[in-house]
Amino acid sequence: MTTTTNDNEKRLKWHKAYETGIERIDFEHKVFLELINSFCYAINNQLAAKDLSRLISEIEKYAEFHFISEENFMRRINYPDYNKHQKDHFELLEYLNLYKHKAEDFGQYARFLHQWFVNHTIHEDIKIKTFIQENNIDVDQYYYNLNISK
Amino acid sequence: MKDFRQPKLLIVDDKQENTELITKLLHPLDFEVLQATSCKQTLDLCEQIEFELVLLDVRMPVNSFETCHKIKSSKKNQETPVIFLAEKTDFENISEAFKHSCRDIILKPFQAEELLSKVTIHTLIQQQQKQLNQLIETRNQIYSLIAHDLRNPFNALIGLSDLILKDLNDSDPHKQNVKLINGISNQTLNLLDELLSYSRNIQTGQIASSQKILAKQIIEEAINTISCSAALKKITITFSCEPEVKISGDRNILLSAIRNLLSNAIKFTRINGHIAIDTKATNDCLEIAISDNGIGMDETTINNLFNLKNRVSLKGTAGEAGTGFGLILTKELINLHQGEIEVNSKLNEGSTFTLKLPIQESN
Ligand SMILES: [Fe+2]
Repeated sequence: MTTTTNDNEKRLKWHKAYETGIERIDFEHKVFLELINSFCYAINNQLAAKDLSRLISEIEKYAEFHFISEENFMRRINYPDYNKHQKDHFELLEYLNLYKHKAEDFGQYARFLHQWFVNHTIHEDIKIKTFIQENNIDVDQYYYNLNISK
Repeated sequence: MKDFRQPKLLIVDDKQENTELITKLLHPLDFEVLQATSCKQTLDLCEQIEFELVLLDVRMPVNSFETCHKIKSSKKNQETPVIFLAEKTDFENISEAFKHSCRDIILKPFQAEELLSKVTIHTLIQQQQKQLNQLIETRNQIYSLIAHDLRNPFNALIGLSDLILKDLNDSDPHKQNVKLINGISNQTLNLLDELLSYSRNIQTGQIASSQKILAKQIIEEAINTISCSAALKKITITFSCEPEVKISGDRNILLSAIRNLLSNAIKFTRINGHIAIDTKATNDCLEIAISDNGIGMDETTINNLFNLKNRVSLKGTAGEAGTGFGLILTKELINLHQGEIEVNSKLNEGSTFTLKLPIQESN
């Protein structure tokens, strides 16, 4: 993932496989992906380490926000694997912490982040989609969709 | 007295990556850092080593709160502070951790500076606490050593002067002086004994045994022990108490506290005076009011009554001597029982000392 400032081609792009069909979760995931992109953008623009660390805090905070948001939805629909899924979120925060301190360079941190995002989304978050489909759950009844105009 | 020992720290996490990361981050502190990745390993280490601080991950295969409890039950780490490590979104465990008297929580992801600062400060507090305890202990030992060693010579002085007094005729010119020696010796021995029980009971801050005690019974017992000196001054005592009320605590300590207040009342009441002991049970406490119609106290005396620094020693109405420790000791004894002492007094009218002790619910 060696993006350059003007290299739009190498930006991390949204993929059909990431889609959970739950509008708000997909929206938050897209923001998360874009945060990784903005982090890579900053690396390529050679921002000072101190500023890159602040961007890491931004990502950490958004991860916390999104996990709570997703967990709240799972609780609303009585998602049976809630505990396991929440544990995955805890583990990610734990790994974010590890990588933040361990990573030899910020690029390594970004690659880890992207890898984790893809893995968790296509393996775990997608299971929520399956559960909703199998149980005919009307998501709109449980999850307020963020009304954000483009 | 400074403890130059290198502080020992234990990091517990089932993921070794985490324990290693923290060890690496704490490197600048020059602590002795040990790592454990299981509950068993943790407890084994805690049996052998006294740590200044334990960092404990909240999500482990074995419940971390139980592990924490077991750490605190180990002989060497009863007082060791525990800091939990939890993820920022793990609200359940975060609030649970504070209920388990953890010292602090470090939330993941954390900043290195935050970790360093919390570890440093809690280790420092722990070291200071230990030094303080050590100082207090040393002082107590010196205190009781001195008192013990001084006791024997005074016993000898009393015994020997008693013997001489027996042999001396009233007309003997030395009789008065020997009497003085005997009196001063007795008084000093009393002071030593009070100091001794002060250092035994107070500074350990512990009540040796706690029983349920019938208030009426223990007050009557205290009255019996002082009835002789009351009779000598022709002081009448009245007492009323509900028969069933129970208080809880160490029988001997409470008895000596009540006795102390009673002998005080006798001391400062004139011949033919009166002492009334009234009790009143409120919702959760028993008030024992000991009132006399004696000489009373002015405001300055009342204010210095429980002050170790401005200790006042007053002579009784019949010249009875005091050490000035009696009331201070009594107050501390009552405080040990979660009780209070209140004083009301008017010069030349009398004093009332009110003991407030928590009532033991009868079942
Ligand atoms: Fe998730």
